Amino acid sequence: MLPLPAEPHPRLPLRDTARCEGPRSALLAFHRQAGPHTLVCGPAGHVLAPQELVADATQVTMAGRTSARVPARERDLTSALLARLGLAAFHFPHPQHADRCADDAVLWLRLGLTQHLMGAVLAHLGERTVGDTALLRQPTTKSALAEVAVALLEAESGLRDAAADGPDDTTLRLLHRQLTTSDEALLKLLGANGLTAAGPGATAYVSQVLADLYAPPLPSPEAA
Amino acid sequence: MTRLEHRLRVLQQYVRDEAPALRAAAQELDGHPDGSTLYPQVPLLDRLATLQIPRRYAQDPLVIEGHEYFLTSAVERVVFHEEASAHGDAALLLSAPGSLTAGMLVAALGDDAQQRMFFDRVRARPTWTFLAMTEPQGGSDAANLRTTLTPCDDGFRLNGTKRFIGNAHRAPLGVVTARTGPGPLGIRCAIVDTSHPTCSAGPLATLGMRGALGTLDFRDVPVPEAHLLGRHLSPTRRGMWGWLHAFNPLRCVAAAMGVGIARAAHSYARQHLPQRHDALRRRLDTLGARIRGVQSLTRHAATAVDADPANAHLPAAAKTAAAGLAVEATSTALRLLGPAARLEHPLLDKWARDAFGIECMEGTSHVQAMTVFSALARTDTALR
Ligand SMILES: Cc1cc2nc3c(=O)[nH]c(=O)nc-3n(C[C@H](O)[C@H](O)[C@H](O)COP(=O)(O)OP(=O)(O)OC[C@H]3O[C@@H](n4cnc5c(N)ncnc54)[C@H](O)[C@@H]3O)c2cc1C
Repeated sequence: MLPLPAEPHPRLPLRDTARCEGPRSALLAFHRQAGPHTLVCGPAGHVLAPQELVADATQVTMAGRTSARVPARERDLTSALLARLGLAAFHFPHPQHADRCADDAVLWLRLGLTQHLMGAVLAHLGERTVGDTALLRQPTTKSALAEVAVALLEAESGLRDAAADGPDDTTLRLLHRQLTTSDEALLKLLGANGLTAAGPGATAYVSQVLADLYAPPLPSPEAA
Repeated sequence: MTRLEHRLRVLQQYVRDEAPALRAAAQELDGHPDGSTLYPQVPLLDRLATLQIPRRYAQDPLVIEGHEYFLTSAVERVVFHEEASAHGDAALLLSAPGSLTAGMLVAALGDDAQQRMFFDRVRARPTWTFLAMTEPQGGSDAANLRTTLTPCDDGFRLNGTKRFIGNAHRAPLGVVTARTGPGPLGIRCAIVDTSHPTCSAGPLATLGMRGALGTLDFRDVPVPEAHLLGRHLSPTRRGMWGWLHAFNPLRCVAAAMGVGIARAAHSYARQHLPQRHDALRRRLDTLGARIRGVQSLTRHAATAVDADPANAHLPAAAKTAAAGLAVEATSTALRLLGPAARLEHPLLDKWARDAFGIECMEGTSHVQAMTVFSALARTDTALR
């Protein structure tokens, strides 16, 4: 991964867990940052977490406000695919929506997941050949990978340079989209291996679900 | 040809009426922990199973309002698959019985006896078939395949592994590409019966197009000489370069499925987006315009292939555009319906996962780009 010559950042451990260990470990770290028995909600009250954390948590937190869980009012949204990955999702009927999504932790996590995916792509293409040449040495492959590397450097710079209270919602949405686009480009490089349930495509899928649950929603018609 | 002639509109309307039954079945297959064992019975798919058979061997064309459809032209196939994906489900189409891919190769390379043997079996009852080319070490580099057909006293022995094969785990027979000798002329196609004990097939768990793909493993599987396709053709016509053009109509079908997925996502979002949200609705309008463009390109490509089966660049262009479109349309729809659209709208989430499958079917965008470039190089003097 191409590093930025920059100061340490408090979110780097989360990014690095995602990069080195993948989605499940990253989600454990993400929710554990909120404290024991606590799950972090997205702006509309959705949670994605490892199944054991969901079973164990007694409270949820959203934009700094913590509430006790009310299992009877929660809606389970765990799909067959998420369950297969050891994850669970639910909707918590939060009384008020956050004004802003100030929390950029999900983006650092997603950045790490995209880097994790990039690692998988480099390893995969390094082993494959076209004729006698490694796929990794094909000019189009090199250029596609370099483009993703540039996008990741841009995303990390954007995250680092955000205001002290976090990026605004427009920036958060933009960064989420940049990461999704990078994931899509990386998936293409995996060929059909990007489609297998046990392969690196699952990392991209979890990252997309995270964007879906934790990115700031588009402005409502009233606000627009 | 972008506006369909009456006969094709009749076909389109028939599929549009029948396809919605695919939706519930597709969701069941997608949500099943092991979708490979499940195959929902849907009348449209049962009907499709005995179409796409060359006229000479077909007995039961689809007849609607006095029009006959064999679904052997690229244009008819495109209309059918686009509409069934738009109003039904593309992944379920891929899991359906019938002879879409393998039949194409048998029709291109088989002699009369081989075609009769293959198509009689497919026609007798809904039968799954497969076309097995892709191998674990890579699919794009088709010339580098490792599966071998080795001559022996009573024909050939087949050895090798195939991966990402549509319906491999369900089909009793299909077509396998394998090497009989060096170079592209040494790559041959054979009809293979999977009932032999040293042929094993299994499902492949995937994120998208769930239940559609499987793997095949051949260990000294006997293949009679009579099953080797192209015996009656010259070495150049039966070798790899001879049968590659059979993929041109298939690329049109893959493109049609991509357009269909995009249309499904687009109309789903339109239906579920609040009326008053003008700004988001305008984004859907833009997406709608792009869908119409790629739909038109796909229909042009199909018409071109029907006129000249060797036309490779238009199907390649349509397939590339449609693969990108399917991803764009599903992700736009999810974004507009968010937050949590992936979990609150499981059908849309499924189509987004399926959309990526279109990228690889019948060759990745990179492979298609090479084909488009070759055509460009032939027409542009500056590139010569
Ligand atoms: C839904 C679905 C259905 C399918 N059905 C079938 C089927 O029925 N039968 C069958 O045989 N196969 C089938 N396939 C497999 C498909 O044909 C292959 O996925 C495809 O050929 C690509 O091969 P690959 O996945 O091994 O990727 P690879 O060939 O390993 O390619 C990996 C990446 O490298 C790129 N690349 C490859 N070569 C080059 C090069 N020379 N220069 C630069 N970049 C390159 C590719 O574009 C891709 O991005 C199916 C796949 C899917 C997803």
